[in-house]
Amino acid sequence: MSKFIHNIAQWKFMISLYFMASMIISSIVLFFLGMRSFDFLTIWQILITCMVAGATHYIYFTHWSNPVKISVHVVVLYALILIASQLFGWWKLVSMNVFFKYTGIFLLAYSLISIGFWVYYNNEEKVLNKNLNEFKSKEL
Amino acid sequence: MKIIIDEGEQYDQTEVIIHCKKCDEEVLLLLSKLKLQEQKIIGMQGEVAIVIEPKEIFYFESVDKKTFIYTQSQVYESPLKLYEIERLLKIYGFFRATKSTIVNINKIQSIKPKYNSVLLLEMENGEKLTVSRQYAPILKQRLGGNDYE
Repeated sequence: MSKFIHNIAQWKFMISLYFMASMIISSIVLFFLGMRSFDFLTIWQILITCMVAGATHYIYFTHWSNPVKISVHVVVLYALILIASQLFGWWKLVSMNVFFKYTGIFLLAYSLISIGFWVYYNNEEKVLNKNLNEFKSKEL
Repeated sequence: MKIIIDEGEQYDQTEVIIHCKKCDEEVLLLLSKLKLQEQKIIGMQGEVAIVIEPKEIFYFESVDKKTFIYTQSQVYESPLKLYEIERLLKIYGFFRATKSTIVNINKIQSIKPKYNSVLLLEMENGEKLTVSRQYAPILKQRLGGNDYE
């Protein structure tokens, strides 16, 4: 039971992360497309997509190697965005050109977010270990 | 701080006298560290009770309402509850890592943050423990550093 509660808490956390990132990215993209507001319905559509996206993040908690995790996650997440986009009518897959354009945008956004996370966690690790060593030397 | 050690055959037992202008934080920290030398934990191995110094303990874990003490290579059972241990050893570098574990910061080899905001601890004996998202900020605060203030 506690494992289940723990997983739900993790999922909730991932949903909030995905939702925050989605709102920021879509706000920036829509701003450049000349839109200044979100529909109430769109927000809920984004939230539903983020709930599924949050579940896909469990791929990162598997024991697979990092390249496999990233590859599987990229494909699954893109498939989810593609399905959600067609379902909610965010953009229409009318030609291969459109497909490649959105795939390119997705890969660029995914890479930028991943690099951002990598830089953040790498820095966090250095700071934590520096503080740990200082703490231990003080205790001695 | 000036430290004078007066060694001599005439002394029966070790005595510490602190001369200070005011009993400030530094003095209190020194006192707590001196008291650490007195603090002992009883660990049971079968019917045998063993006295363990806190500095030898890597972590405590609660499993099925029993508390276990993990040292470099030994496991003992403790009659104490986790909340009692937490209260007792908090000032000596122990912190709550999850609802069921208390870890000795001084035995942590390295810390690795994970993407789901938990921290992965590698202990000096090679064991890997996690700090849950709930308790990660507490460890960061304990480790101090202006980076988190």
